[in-house]
Amino acid sequence: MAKKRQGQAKRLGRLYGNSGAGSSRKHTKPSPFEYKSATPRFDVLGKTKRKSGGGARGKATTRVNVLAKRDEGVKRREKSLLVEYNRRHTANTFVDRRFGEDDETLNEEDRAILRFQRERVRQAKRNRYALDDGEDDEYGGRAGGGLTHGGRDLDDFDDSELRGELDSDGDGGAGGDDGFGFVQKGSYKTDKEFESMMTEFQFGNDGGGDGEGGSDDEEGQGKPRKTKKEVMQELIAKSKYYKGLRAKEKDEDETLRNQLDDTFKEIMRDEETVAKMARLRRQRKLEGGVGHGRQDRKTEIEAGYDKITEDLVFEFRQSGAQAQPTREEMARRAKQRLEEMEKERLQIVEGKEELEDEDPDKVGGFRGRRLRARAAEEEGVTGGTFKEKLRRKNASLEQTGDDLGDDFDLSDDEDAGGDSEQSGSSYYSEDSDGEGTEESSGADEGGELSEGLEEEEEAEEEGAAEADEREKKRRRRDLNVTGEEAFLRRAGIQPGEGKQRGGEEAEELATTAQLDSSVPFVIETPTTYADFSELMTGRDPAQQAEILRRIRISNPVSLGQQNRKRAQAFYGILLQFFSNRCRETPLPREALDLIVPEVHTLTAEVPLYAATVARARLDQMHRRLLRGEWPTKQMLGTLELFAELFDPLQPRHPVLTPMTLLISKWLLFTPVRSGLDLAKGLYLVKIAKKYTCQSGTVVPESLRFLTSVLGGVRADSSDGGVLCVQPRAKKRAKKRPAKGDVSVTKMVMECDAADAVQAEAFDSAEFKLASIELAFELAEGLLGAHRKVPSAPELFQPLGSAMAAAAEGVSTSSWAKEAGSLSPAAQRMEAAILDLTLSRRSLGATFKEQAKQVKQYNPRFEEDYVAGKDYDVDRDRSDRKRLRRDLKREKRGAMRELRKDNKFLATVKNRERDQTKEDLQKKYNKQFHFLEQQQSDMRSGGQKGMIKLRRK
Amino acid sequence: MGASDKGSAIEPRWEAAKRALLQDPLKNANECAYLVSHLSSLVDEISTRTKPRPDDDGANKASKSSDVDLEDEKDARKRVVHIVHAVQKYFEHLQTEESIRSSESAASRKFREWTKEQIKSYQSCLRRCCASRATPAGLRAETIFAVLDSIKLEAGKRFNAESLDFVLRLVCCGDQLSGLLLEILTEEYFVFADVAYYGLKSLARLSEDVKSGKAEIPENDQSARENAVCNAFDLLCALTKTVGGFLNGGEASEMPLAERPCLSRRVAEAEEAGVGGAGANAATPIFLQEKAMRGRFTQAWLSFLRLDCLPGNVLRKSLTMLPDRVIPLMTTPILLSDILTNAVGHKGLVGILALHGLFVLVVSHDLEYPNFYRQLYNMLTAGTLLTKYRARFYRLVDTFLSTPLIPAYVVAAFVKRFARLALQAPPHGALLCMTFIFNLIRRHPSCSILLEGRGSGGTDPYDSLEADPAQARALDSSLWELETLRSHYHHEVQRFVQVFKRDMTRRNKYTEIDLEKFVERSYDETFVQENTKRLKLCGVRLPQKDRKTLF
Repeated sequence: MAKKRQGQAKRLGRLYGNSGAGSSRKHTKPSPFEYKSATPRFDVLGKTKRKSGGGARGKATTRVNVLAKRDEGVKRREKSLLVEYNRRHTANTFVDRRFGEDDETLNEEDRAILRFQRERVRQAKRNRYALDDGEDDEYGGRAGGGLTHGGRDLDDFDDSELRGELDSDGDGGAGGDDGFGFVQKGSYKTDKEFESMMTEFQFGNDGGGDGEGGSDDEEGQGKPRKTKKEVMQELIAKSKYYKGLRAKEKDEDETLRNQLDDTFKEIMRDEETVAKMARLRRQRKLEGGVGHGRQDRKTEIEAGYDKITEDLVFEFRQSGAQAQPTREEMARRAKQRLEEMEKERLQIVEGKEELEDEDPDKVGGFRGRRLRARAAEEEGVTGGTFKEKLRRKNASLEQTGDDLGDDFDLSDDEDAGGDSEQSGSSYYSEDSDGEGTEESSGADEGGELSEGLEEEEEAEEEGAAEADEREKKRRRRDLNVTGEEAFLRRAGIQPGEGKQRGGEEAEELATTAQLDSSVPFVIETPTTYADFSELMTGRDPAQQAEILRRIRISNPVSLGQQNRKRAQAFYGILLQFFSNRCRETPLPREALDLIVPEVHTLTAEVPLYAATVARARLDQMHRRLLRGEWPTKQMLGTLELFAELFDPLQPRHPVLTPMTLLISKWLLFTPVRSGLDLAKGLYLVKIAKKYTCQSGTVVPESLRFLTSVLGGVRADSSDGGVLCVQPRAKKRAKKRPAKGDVSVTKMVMECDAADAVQAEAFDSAEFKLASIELAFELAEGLLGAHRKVPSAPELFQPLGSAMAAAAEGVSTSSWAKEAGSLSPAAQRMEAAILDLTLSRRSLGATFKEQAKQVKQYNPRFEEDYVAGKDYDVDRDRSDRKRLRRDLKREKRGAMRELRKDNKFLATVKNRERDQTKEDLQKKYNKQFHFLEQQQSDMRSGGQKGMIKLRRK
Repeated sequence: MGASDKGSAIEPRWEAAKRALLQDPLKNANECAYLVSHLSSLVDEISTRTKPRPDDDGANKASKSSDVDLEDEKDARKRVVHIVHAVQKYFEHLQTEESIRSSESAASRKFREWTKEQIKSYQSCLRRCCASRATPAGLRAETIFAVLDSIKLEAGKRFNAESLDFVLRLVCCGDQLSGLLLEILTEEYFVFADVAYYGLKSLARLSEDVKSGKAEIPENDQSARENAVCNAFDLLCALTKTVGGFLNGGEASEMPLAERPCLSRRVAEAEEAGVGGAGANAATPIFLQEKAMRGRFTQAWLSFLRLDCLPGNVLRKSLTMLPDRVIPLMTTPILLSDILTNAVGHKGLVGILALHGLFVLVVSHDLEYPNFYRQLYNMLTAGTLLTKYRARFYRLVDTFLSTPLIPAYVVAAFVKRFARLALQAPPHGALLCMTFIFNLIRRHPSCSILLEGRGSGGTDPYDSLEADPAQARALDSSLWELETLRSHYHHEVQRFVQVFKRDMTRRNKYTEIDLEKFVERSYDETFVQENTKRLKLCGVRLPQKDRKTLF
């Protein structure tokens, strides 16, 4: 085995070995594999054709000399791997760069000769520009002798001096050519002149010298090069300078632009200009529409001007935009505002103490003196300045406080709030700026007020009054009035003032103006019903709504879990309050209408809790339903409120679904025993109708109720039935109120169960007629809502016939005159039903199961299809595929290379081992040879075998 | 108590007599006569309580105060009970006494006759007692049981049906039939085969009497009549139960009718004799023969159901009992058909129950009733979805419609009828109706044509007023109603309509929907379910700017 391997190694060694004999033999006589090959005549399927780099078709398959390629690889390895291998135990290398050292073709002598030649050439080169100054020193010991610097001979300088004084850029080597290099001392008239000239050109001069030095052997000697540090410093300085320049330019630009902006703002503040520009634009548009050609002829300057104008207007419009605040931000801001207003209110209510707290130092004149004296007496002058600041801040806020209301109505858009606030703050800044603007901004301060005050102030004032101080005085003056009045004035709420403002604002003010200032701005959420009702009693509706609003804003749900909990508790109280109000007679409609939006907002804030509370109410109603009684008044009110609050479009609503069920059962199962019951039933139908119309659903129970009610209509009969209209008593007919006065739904809500008179009213013929009319109205409304429903005719048929019968009955009775609208309504109804019947469409494919679509593949054909090409449409995927393939190939290649490397190294190692073995053998043989010689010598008697014994 | 009133320790005469009678019945037979006469006087006193006489042994007091009266009453009752107890025991003892029964001596005969007389007077006394209106209720019940017990004492081969008849009439026409009394009657007396047999017989006679007005009920007293009918029904129910136990006592524990215990002793003995002697069938008393029992049963029910004044609930209950518990026991159930056909004319549950009876007759007793589905069709009205008994009603409807043998045009009419009902119905009713529609279409795939929407719309060809489902032209129509229900206000109804959106002809792809899911639902249940559902999402309407006033 070993032997075999050895043999193989030897063969390989012969093949790959770099021994001169092997390779030379190969070169001389190439193996037949190298030059013999079989050219394939046909393309064989499945056999890859080797393509030469884009050549002609005939050359598609070229012979590859495998052996040559292999040889190449071996050689490459010899150069790289083998070298590395041979050096494997050495830590460093020694590179001999002596001339001709690595050239093996030279012998020692040739090498020496060549070296000498080069030396000579170098010396000759160095002296090319050296001038001969008589001295025969060939090597130019004083090479720079003729050169001067600063009028002195260069030789006079010592090295350090030279380095310190001269600074030149490094490339002075080229400077030798520019003519300054060879200036001699004597060529100028005076030394001074020369000196100055030299100073001027010292760089060049030095460059010349340096250039010579550069080619010199001893480079390190007189070379005045700049250090790196210096270079950097210089760079930095330069950049700083430019930066400064740029900054300055920028500043100038900015000031210019600011100036321009200011002037522009001034212009734009003038409404006339704006109007003019707008007009101009409109005109231009018109012109553009009418005569296009004329505009083309406009000069370029004009066009540019127009463009700028337009841009400017656009820019103007965009100014003042503000990021929309988030809900939390809005809530917080509103709360803060209320808190500040509350603080102020408290201060004002305790008006006098506030006055004493004022800092007397800031008040001028007699008043100031008086104040100061009093302060000295009382020694209670602390914290004044702070309060004053606070108050000023409040004053600024109070101007903006007007729009507080619409700012946080859900319905209002939030931009308005932001805008108005901004305008408020700008007013504030103007105020503090000076007097002039203050007067001009009378819009928010109230013209007549400030003027009147100013007169007084003037009379009182002594000496020069600073604008600032006057402003303050005015405020203080406000405080002189009684607290509440002052507060109202402060808040800008004066009855006459409202007219100056926009309509909306005026409205808002009007409601606020009605508010008693005893209502605090910040109200803690009441936790018990008693607290709440105490808060609400004795207020008018607007105030109640405002209180609710303030409670809501000062305890925003979006800020903090605690507030949410409280709001939830408060919601229950509020609903209780609402239903209690509903119970009152007469019904406080106005108050309820004002409360509803607040309830709505609160509901939107805690919807799930609202649903819980509503469900509890529904449960309560259900218990009443189970007793077989119609709902009470407040239940009706609450139901109406729920229908108002919740979203009818949610098909499975936690409140509305049970509510509709409740109403349905009421309508279907509860017997109508009296006129009041009837009215309540009709009211329920009304609520159901509202829900129906908005959600687009059908409540069949309401139709059935109407049908049964109308089926019971008997005119001119004196049975005891609910809808049996008594025959009219002719005598009393005139005394009765006109028919229009009876509104069933209103009567329900106004009724008082204990009132006997009202019970009679529910028994009156007028009421009955009115309820018949209402039933007709509801029926028509429902039909209108259900027009799209395909079974509407079937749904409404019984109702229609009941209506017709009722109308017929009433019209033949003694009440025909009062109920004139019934018969046409019944006819309309019948006509509508007939119309719906005829216009009904076929059921069509409503209940057809939709067939599942089968996935279809369209065949696609590629015109010039290439087999190996990747036709993947997904670029990314194809790229990935290609990369993966490349990676694989690389991997394979690397593995192959490694394998070959190993093989090569193994060969080398084998050869080495063989070599050592061979050497050893040789030595051994040699020794043996010697020993044998000795032996034979000894045997031959010391003659080294030279003596041939003749033994024969 | 009476003794203490008198102030002496001497025990009353009746107590001594009672003690003596119980100690040695034969020797003290005279005491029996005394006790019976005493009882009779007591009963007289009780029944004419308005003028009480002082008794010979001073049991009654002269005092007229009400509390003393009450005491008196209790005392009298106690005495009556004691005496009845003693006398009953004595008579029973006599019956068991072999020496008296079997001896033929003149003395013993005379004694027997005397005893018979005593028994008769005892019975008449008891009857008087329980028939009297003045007797307190408790005492009456006691005496009623005593009367029934006294049936045992009767000698002779025949069952003393007279007493039983008397008791039943008393119970029915009187007002004292309470639950307890009924229970005792059922458990202690009706278990005897002879009592059950003669009870059925007398009930049949009683109901005939009630019908012809011969019963001792005030003629124009409607409520008394109804009451009597109710009582009769209760008794009949009890009897049906026991008779049912007798006749189809398939269970191992139940004995066959022939081995049932009987109340009257003499009969039992006669039976023994029969077994020992000829062993012929003739020897078996009639009330132990199954056929006779069935015949009595049938007669009783028929005569009861033929009463024209059955109150609604009684009629409903009896009709409910018919298919399962009565008809199987009857000899000729077909006789019920005219009664049932009359009842089918009723609205609502009665009609459907009668229809159920007819259904049973048609299915298993060869009755021809061609109008069956027409009647059923006309019973389906909107009102039935609102009644309390709708679950039972619609379960029955489901039973009737479960057969696949109804022609498609009839089924289509039913489908349309249900669809129309669903339009008017409350949510649970709509769900129920849609379940019916779905199941019907599944059972009769040719009805799926109703969902296909042929034709051009316009008027509905289906005639909802036509009484005959075959003539209603339902197959030409379409189910627009289902599309309408898609916009019902209740979300479950809305979603249920989606069920129909499939290929209804491929029956193996889906199954019927279980009726039980919806049949028991009601408004309240739906409401509670909706109102307590877990809160997930609560939509709040966006505030409207141009909001009108709320009220």
